[in-house]
Amino acid sequence: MTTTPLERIAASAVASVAIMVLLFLIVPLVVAVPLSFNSEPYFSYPMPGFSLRWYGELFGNDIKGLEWRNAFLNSVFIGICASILATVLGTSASLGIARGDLPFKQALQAMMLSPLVIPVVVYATGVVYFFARISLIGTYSGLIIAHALLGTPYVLITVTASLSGFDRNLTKAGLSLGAPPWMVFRKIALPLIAPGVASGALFAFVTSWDEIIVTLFLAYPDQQTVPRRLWAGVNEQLSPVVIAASTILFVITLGLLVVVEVLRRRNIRLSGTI
Amino acid sequence: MPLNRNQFVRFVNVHKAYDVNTLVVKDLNLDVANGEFLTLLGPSGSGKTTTLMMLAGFEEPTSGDIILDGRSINGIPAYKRGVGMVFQNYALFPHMTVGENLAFPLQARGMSRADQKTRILQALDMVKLSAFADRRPAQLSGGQQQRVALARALVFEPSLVLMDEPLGALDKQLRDHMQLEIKHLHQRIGVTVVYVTHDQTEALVMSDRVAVFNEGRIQQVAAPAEIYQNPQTDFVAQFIGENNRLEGRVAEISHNESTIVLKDGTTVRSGSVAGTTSGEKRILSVRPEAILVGSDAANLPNSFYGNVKEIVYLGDHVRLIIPFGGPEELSIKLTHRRAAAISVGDQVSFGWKPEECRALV
Amino acid sequence: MSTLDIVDDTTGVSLDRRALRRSLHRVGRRQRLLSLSLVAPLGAFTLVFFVIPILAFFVFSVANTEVPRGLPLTTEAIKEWQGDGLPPEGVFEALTSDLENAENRTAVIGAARRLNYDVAGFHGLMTKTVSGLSRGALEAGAPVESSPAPDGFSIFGNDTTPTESTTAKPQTPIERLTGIDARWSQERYWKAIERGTWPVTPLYLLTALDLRIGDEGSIERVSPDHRIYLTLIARTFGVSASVTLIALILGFPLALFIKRQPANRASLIMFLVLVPLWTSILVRTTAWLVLLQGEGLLNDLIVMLHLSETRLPLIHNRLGVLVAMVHICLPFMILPIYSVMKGIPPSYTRAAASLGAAPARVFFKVYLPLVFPGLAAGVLLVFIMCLGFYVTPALVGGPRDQMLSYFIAMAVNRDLNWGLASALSIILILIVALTLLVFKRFASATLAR
Repeated sequence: MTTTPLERIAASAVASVAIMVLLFLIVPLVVAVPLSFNSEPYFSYPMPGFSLRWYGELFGNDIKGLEWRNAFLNSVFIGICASILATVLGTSASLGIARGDLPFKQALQAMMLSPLVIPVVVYATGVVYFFARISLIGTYSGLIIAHALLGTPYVLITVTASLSGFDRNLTKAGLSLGAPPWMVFRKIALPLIAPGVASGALFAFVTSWDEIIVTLFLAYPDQQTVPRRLWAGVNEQLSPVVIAASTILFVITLGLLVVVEVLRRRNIRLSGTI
Repeated sequence: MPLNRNQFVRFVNVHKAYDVNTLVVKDLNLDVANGEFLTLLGPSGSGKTTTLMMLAGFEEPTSGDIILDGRSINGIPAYKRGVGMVFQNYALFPHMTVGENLAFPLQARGMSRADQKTRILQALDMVKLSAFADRRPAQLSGGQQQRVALARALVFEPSLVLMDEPLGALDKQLRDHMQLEIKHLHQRIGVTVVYVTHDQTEALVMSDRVAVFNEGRIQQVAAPAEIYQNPQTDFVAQFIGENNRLEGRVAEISHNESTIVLKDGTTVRSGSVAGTTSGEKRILSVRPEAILVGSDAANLPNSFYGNVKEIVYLGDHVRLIIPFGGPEELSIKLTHRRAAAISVGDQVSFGWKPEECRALV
Repeated sequence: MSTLDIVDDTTGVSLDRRALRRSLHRVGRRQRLLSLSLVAPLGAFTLVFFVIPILAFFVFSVANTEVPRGLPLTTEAIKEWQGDGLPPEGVFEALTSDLENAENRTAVIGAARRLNYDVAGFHGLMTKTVSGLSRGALEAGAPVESSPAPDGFSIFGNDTTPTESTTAKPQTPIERLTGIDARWSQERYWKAIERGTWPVTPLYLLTALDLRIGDEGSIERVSPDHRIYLTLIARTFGVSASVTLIALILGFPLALFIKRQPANRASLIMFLVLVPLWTSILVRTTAWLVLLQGEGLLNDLIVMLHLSETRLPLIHNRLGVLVAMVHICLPFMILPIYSVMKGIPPSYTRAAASLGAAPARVFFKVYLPLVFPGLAAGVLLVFIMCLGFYVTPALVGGPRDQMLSYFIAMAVNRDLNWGLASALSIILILIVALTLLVFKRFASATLAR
């Protein structure tokens, strides 16, 4: 196709804006990373020297290191439990919706997706009162339930999407070949929607892993999570230890993203098309 | 052993409705003989696929009974019916290899690994795909996938196999080839097949009998030749093969012939149809190849003259289009040699035997 | 009797519709029940742990239980009062008894706090009166269990010390109360108590809209120096709209750019867009603090390049909030736009070009309308997200940059004013619902066109 000079100007304008926006997205994430290796507790370049002392504090055996590691374990524990709960509930509901004959489908779907649009502070305030009445404040169960709830819409969306690409004839084929419904689900439907379920589970985990507002409202002071420690670190005095912790989280994020990408590619390879 | 060889599958007064206002299948009564290849033929929405789905167990009849091998199968879930099925888009499990796809029904029946292996090899051998057991469906061509689907539906040796437009996704050449292959396979293993298609050629080529569906009702059930040469309704005549339709009224009835007056007053003698009374509106049906032209037509009881409006070249033959009987036109099939002397505007004589022509409802 | 009385509708004979309907219903019911039982666990979970807590919380916006609980006798007695002049003596007596009832102290404190929301200074008046009454009782020789300034009142410690001690012992309850504080002879305090006995109160919803019930009983705007919430609502709306607009302006070219790249590079760039999306909001906010603060990297750069002599205030103001929020929202704008762009076959624009349309015309008349659903989805998503933002403004904004969420959290955590938190939440939810509704209308209107 031939292009006019005007088109070329427009294209290069779009390209330069796009690259600047891309830099705006990425640079802030990485520019602070080297500062976590600074030998002095300052946030400026050039750095006087290289040091792992801030990571040492994170992994050290003094109170601070213990607190960080405790928060990390709490976050992982709550995140995994919330993710499992959200994935089981969300996958089952998606299967029910995909069957196409659900009564009150619109209303039920709207209700189950509503956690996406209700501001979290409103939910946190509501749930703190409700949980106080049923003695769930300051418990792990309370945090897990609230975090799982915020994650369920994502599971619902990803699993529903993968079910919409699922050929209903495969279920019929499985049945016609003599397999009972449960075997058809386990051997045929589940493996094929597995990437959708997995990315839903990952979304639910990240939702919990990143959650701060509900945690601030619901958790007792001894129930530290990583976001809570970051929140305290940012609110009080920004220290290089917080930057070091942020860097570790960032690296974990990158790792998770790679996992998602691998899942996506696997999905493409399995379905054979697109 | 079936109680009655001719009643291996029976539909008895079966109705099917999805909502109160539309009956998809109306009062269906149909028997399928053991070892028969029966095709359900009809346009989309005629109820043929619904009939198949009721037999497979994916739909429940709204009323009536479906009987398989002497037992009513109403309410028996699909996976307990032991009926093999080939789907329109093959429905091969994309995450399993060809071998695993074939093993699936055997595993569901708890067969030992060794037996599974023998059966799978036999089935693949039957469809000439022995070398492909470890491939994924996505790595196969359309025709190969089709054969895997066939093998999978047959590997557990069901006594009844259902096929839902299995050749619909193939290109024409491959479709013609697969038609014969499926037919030979059926002749070799003698399984009962109920086959759904909207393609009349497919139905004529493959079937022992054809059931023509329209608007939820069976129009006619008969062997392919009978369906083609002796259509019982206007719809069947129209749907199977090519057909000239001429509207008229019954003027006279004798013991084996009746006389029909067309809209412009032309009288035509046709084969008799039982139950016809004088004055009734009827539709005459004449196949394009039954109409003779020139000297051949001169001495026939139905002999007419007309001007050629158009000559259509169709490769292996030629069509003459001649206005006839009022608003209608006749399409006449001719060989090249016969058509060589004719050009547009010529007056030609043409005609047909009364028994080649039927007055239908 | 195996068949139903069904007759072909084309032959004109009626079919037995009722039997057919019953039969259809029976066939479908088991299937529908299975679908329902698959959805039920999540439905129940959402209902119990999401919908009910929020609805129960909304009840606080009109709940009016503090005064009847704290001042039960007064609540009963004040029913007799017509509202003209001072209430009858029985009401004064009832209030005196209520305030002297040491066992009910916590509830009295609650009532005092509730009345203070209605009339400023009421809490101080109550504190002073309670301690005045107990001092009077001490002087009269009657032993009183609690200390003169009971616990719990101290947090509002403005008026806790009584100004003068009364030597002459007042006889009537009216004299006792007005003797402790002359405000008891003002009608407005009694009217506030009376409003406190209503089954529901409009107080919090009015407060959230900068309105109050005036002394004459009519609804009026609060004095200008107390007007905060309308500004707050406008600010929440304004900040969200600005962030959405900026994200749209920045996100659209990037999406367009990605679409035009070869597949491999496009997926790499999408990866770069997704990295910030998946990175913790707190991690990103920390990064912005490091970048933007007074001693931060951006100011280092500005001073080094002599763009400015002094370090610029880049954070803890509106600029910081906008920058950080746009950074968080951008991926949510880019994703829907890009996914819609990816679904547009190039044949459409080629067809338009082949029909002789100039490139600019193709872009605006053909491409943009096709991308519109993506733009609308991105705008809706980002705007609704922004309305509820709490963490980012709290960490990188100044006091004048806080949004509704912040004030809801404050009302609950600092002021324990659940009623106001609930009223503000209702307003926030209404804005969200209204936005969704407008978009739905708008979307169907464009589709119809």
